[in-house]
Amino acid sequence: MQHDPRRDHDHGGLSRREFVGSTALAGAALVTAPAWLPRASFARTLAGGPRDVLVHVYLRGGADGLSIVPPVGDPEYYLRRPTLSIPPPGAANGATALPGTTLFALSPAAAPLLTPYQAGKLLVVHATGLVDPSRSHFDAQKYMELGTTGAFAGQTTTGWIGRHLASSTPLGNGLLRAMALQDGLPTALVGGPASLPIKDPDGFDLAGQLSTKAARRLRIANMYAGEPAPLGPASTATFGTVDLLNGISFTGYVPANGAVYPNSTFGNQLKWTATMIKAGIGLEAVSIDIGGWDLHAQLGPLTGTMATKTSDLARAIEAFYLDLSLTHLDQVTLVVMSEFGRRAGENASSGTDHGHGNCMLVMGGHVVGGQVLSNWPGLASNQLDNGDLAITIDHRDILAEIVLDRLGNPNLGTVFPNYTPTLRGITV
Amino acid sequence: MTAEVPPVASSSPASEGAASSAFERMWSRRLLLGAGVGAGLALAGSRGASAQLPTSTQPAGSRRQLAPVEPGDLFVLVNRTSQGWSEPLWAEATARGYQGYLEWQLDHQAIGDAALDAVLTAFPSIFMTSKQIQDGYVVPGMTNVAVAELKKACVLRSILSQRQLFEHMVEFWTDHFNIDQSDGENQVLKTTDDRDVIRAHALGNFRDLLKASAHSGAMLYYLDNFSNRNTGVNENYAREIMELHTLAPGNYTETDVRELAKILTGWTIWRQADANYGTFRYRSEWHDNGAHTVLGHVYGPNGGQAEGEAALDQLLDHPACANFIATKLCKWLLSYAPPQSVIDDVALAYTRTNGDIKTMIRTVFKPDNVQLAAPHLQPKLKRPFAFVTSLMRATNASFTGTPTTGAQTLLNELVKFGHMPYAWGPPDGYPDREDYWGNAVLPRWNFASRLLDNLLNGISVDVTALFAGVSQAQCAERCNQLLLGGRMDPADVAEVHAFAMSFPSLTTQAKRESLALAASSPSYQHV
Repeated sequence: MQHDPRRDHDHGGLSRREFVGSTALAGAALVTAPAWLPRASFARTLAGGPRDVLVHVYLRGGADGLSIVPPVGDPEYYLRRPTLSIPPPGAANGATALPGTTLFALSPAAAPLLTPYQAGKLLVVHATGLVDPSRSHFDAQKYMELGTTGAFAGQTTTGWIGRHLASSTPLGNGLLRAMALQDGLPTALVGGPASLPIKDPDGFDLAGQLSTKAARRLRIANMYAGEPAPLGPASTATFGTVDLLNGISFTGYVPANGAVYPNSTFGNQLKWTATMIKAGIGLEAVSIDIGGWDLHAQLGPLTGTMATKTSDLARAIEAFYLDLSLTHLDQVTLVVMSEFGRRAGENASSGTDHGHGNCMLVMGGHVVGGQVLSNWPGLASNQLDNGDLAITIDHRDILAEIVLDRLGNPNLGTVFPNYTPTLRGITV
Repeated sequence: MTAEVPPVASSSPASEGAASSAFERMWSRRLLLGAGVGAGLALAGSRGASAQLPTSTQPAGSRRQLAPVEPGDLFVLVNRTSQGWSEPLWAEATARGYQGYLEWQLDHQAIGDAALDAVLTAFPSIFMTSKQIQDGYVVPGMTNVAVAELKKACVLRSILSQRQLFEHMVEFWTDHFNIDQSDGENQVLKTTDDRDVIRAHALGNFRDLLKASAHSGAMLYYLDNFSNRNTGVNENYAREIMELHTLAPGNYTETDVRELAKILTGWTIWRQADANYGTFRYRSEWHDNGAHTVLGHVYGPNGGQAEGEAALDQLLDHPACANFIATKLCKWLLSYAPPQSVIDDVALAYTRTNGDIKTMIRTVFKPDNVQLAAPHLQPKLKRPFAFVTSLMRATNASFTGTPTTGAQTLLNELVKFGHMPYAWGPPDGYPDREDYWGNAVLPRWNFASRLLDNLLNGISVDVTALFAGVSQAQCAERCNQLLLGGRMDPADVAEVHAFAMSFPSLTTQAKRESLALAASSPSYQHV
């Protein structure tokens, strides 16, 4: 759906005051609304089915899935990783057992994930990923985010989330449909209407003298109204977002259900995400990058860098789960993915080089969780793909089912062109 | 519509020439793009249109061909080869002419930079060896201020240096050979890499640049080759030197990566305790002495360090390297989608000169190539760093107190943009893509607002001087002249004018906010 930017920047002729007032009814229904909640709030579903907010967490650099969900039941794992493996459950520094499987367990650092897993809301998919053979970070990330493979990457410049948004009707008023909590727009969101990179949504407003603010806003909006993408639409979405976020107090937000987010960048980002989901501002996708997983040297799966990063990831996701579980989890699907896993065998730097297959995490109220979905190919040398964990489930199978069943978009051929996904029954 | 752009050498407000050239930009950016269905289509449309533009009537190879073929080209040249257009730089350019300006900037060592040099003495670490920094700056539990010194020097050089093309190329190569300064020992090592690799060769020879990088302690540390040894190969650097530094994907195989990694075993660095800390060290006992095949060429057995040097030469001699470097250079200096024929011309210059960077730049800006690429019809989005430095330069912003205070303020601002120098984590460098940076517009508007409101600590803009003798009715056109030499889109000028006229009189606040508004315009986001 294309917006006329000249209409959008002033909300179709309504002033900001009128705009907020016109939606006061929705806010008024929330009699016990906490102080951080804005007055604007939109109906979450449209006719035609359920619509989740997608939370897209991307681990940049190729996260070592074998150190997040180690295949402790595969003896080859310990042969490939003589000094960098995680001992099986029960051993000293052992992994955290996962109910229902002896093949896989959680890194001790990932133990907080057990909370949503045991509640049946967290699914692990293993030996999954981008089937393209590239071991380049930048190509693999690009292909994944374009929702394609190298063979077809030249045919598209837009991201899979961007195309999903462009091929579906807005959940709210369409002023802000997707937000990337970072400085620049990730490729996955490129092409999406009203999709902005916003590193810190707290205090997102026009600077300068109050006395001239309205006049400056009007002039800037006019200047950008006819401007092509990205600047023109970004300007429109920016002013819309300023209004949407205006009533939210991010600092005053109190997580529900005893949830405690880690005091980290990712912890804060998931907390902001929960804040905006509960505020009902019509946001449909949030994208969060976590960098620094390219651990060619000093992997540290038990006590080092990998353990630290995994712990932060797992604690934040557990808090996000707890925070939403009583009220909003049915409206959210979170996915965690990375461009590739790492080489099955370790190198001389106590690290691992670029690999292939990996694990993926999916969490949500309608996720068939509490299990590990895998057609495990094994880690014996004759089972590896050029030295790496093979891929037996195309990651697009997982994403396509989410798009179809949880984001209510049947246009899978648009979102994942040149691919017919195999739906795996991961959603209910 | 022709490509002729009337000269705008005068800084006087509101000339006919200014209006006409502004119309040229409007036509290129709005009407043309608006005619397309989508951005991609529109881009193709603008390239198509460029082919219909009248070409130079001067005979090829004549002396006059080297003279400015059209004033628009000179503006493009100054804009695309600097860290920000400014009235003083434009005066230099118009006095020297197209070719004279380019040659003046290419001979960067002949350009005096005394004022900047005096400022840089505030950062002693940028002149030190890694060992000196390690011993003098690294104290456990305390911040290593050498990290900030290098970043501040980077910002100040971009704003203050007379060697604008040199700084523009330093930025380019810093991304090409990206090193994250926050990565462990690179809090020490990046400083010498910046000086002895990037700056030493930014306008030299690409072969020397790549070789220097391959022997740089900072690079070997950042991409883990310092621990690459025969007992378990670390292929991180071997991959990126082919993917990012020389060949680009598609021109080598995974086997080539693994084999080159073996060839580079033993390429390490002296450690902290050593007198030569951070410099290159070849350890033969770490080297894989087998035979290795890269791109079909067999090295060894027992090839030692020499086989690594030879393998680097093989990469540098590869046609894919010439094409890749030429493509990136054309994208940096000309447009996001330069014509293949121009890329080929630059690649040929690379091959003929064995990688001479000045010759490649001269080739990029050959009038014929500029005409073909029509960069004035394909504006490039300023990345945030360029937005900040260009606005500082165009507004003649001054540093109150010591420049280090103002530089620290600018670093704090660049953090908000996500464009801090030497802070991009992955080895591919900050993106040079419109879709990455172009959706974050609020940080630009707000930086302009805070800078012009004089709210940035240690930085001051003297609008009284900038607007001396300017009436309220001339205010918008003066903004246009200051920022863009009169090339601002007339629609943007009209908005600034309406805003300026809404004040009861041309107060200081009116000047400040009008200029901030002009800096927030779409016109000023592009070069």
